[in-house]
Amino acid sequence: MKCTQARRLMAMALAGDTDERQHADLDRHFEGCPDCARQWQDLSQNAATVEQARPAATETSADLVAAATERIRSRPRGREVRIGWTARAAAVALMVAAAL
Amino acid sequence: MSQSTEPQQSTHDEPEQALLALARGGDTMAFAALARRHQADLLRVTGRFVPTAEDAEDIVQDALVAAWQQLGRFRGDSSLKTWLTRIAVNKALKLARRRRVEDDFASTPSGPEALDPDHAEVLAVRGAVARLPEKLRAPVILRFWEGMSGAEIADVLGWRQGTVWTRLYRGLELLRRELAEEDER
Repeated sequence: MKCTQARRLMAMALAGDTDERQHADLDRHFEGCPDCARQWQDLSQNAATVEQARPAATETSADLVAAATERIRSRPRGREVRIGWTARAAAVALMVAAAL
Repeated sequence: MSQSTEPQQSTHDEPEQALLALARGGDTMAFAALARRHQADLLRVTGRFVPTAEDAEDIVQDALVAAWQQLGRFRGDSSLKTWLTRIAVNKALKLARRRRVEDDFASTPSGPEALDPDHAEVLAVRGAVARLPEKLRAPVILRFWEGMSGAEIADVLGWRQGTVWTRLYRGLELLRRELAEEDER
């Protein structure tokens, strides 16, 4: 395997998108390529560092769905779209008027 | 659907597709039942992108209102959860664009935390993540703080899977350089 292919596989592995066979291919490449092996070690270590810095999950006692539903009920669906079309129609009318 | 002789199902137990159909037809209760199923996940994902719980709460509310408005455009190509997450993440990224949120993430701790070198390192990493360009930051956060696979990240961000791989790799490389430079300072 060439180093460019190995880098592609490393990127896939970081994303968790590799299978066992691809991992084995990478390991074989690392055995003969210390540069890629070092690169993989650095990336893996860095990935672990980022994982460990994961912020605590945000939790709330607020009922966000109730608040959103209240806003939804006070603003019927499609209103923005209608305003958008009205505005566009007005803009076209103004351009036509200006052209005349 | 249940027959009249069977006990009436509440929206809590309805299958997602049935609730979606009702919500598309304008049933706000059905939409609320759907939203309730995903509220905690949306808040958690959004909270990874913005510095305060209040920001995350506002974004989730805005995302739910936007989802209601756009429900007619949801074709079911991805799951409802993925679609809602996409709306919420886009709103979180927009907020981060408007403000320099990395300053909030990396703010100097006060009190006992200030004496804890491990905590200082954690803050340095979070600050470095927040300073990443948006296109590298989003996949890094979704992968390493949300545990999504490349395929899931591609779905949420609307990118090709190969783009996720490349940007994740570049994001980690950039982080490594940034953190090494900080260590030298």
